[in-house]
Amino acid sequence: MSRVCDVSEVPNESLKKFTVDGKEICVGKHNGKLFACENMCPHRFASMDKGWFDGDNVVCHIHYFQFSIDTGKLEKIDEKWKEQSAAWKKSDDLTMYDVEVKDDEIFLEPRRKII
Amino acid sequence: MATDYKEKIGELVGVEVIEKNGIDVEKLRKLLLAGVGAEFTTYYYYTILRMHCTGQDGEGLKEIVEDARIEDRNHFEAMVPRLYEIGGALPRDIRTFADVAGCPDAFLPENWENVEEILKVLLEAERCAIRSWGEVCDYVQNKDHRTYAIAQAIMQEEVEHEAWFVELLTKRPSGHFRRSFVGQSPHTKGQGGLIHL
Repeated sequence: MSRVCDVSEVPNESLKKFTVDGKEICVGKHNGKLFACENMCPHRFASMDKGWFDGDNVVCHIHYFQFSIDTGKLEKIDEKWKEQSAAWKKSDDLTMYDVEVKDDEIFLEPRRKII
Repeated sequence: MATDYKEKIGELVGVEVIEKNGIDVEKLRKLLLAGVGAEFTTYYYYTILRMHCTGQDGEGLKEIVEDARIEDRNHFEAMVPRLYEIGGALPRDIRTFADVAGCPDAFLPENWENVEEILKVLLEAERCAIRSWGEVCDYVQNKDHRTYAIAQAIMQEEVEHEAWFVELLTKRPSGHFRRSFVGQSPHTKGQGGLIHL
């Protein structure tokens, strides 16, 4: 696992950007729960740390696509895009990392995908 | 063939230096393709929106929509050469291009006879463009100076376009007067494919 930061660097209800092993990672804390994902929306590559929370989803700041902070799964597409083509709305899920806290420090590693 | 160039001249130094600065070139290609896709589709949809700026209210809007329309096309022209420089390309099929655009289609609203509804569509499109080019600027700043120069010039014009439409919708006091000519693009002129400006 790779060290990211101290726990205190990610306050509750925040999204923070870090570079780990040359990759941009977004670490967030929502309702006291830590999670981490690639800092890139799979829809149009926006930075996830500029987003916000809606329920248990993280919302991308450009097109408001919502992804589960637990699984990374695309959960919701804003109603305002109902007229847009299915091809334009197509998106992968968010790439997630497993997070572990040791001695007030946050560590992570890429989550293995279950096939 | 174009793909054989590496054997002939080695790696592209222009790509090598930005990679050494931490740029993921594949990600940058995707960001730029989404950005130019949004500009191109917006140019198309603004054409339709402009055609519907009619009547006593609409006629006054027509010229300002035209300024934004041509400048958005200019943004496509300004950035596409950079996409190719870093090894990217436009999709062979224009349908694919529209599908990967960084902003949604700016459709003509059903109640287009109310000019305010057209203005709302224009404003939404400009706001998406600002966020998208903001992503590019943030990503390449201090790492890829050439892409940054073009993207921040585009961004400046997009911010001006947003201000125009906000002022028209809200009567907010305005610093805007007029462009010297349609498609002036005061910030992006001279970039990429705009050497004629």
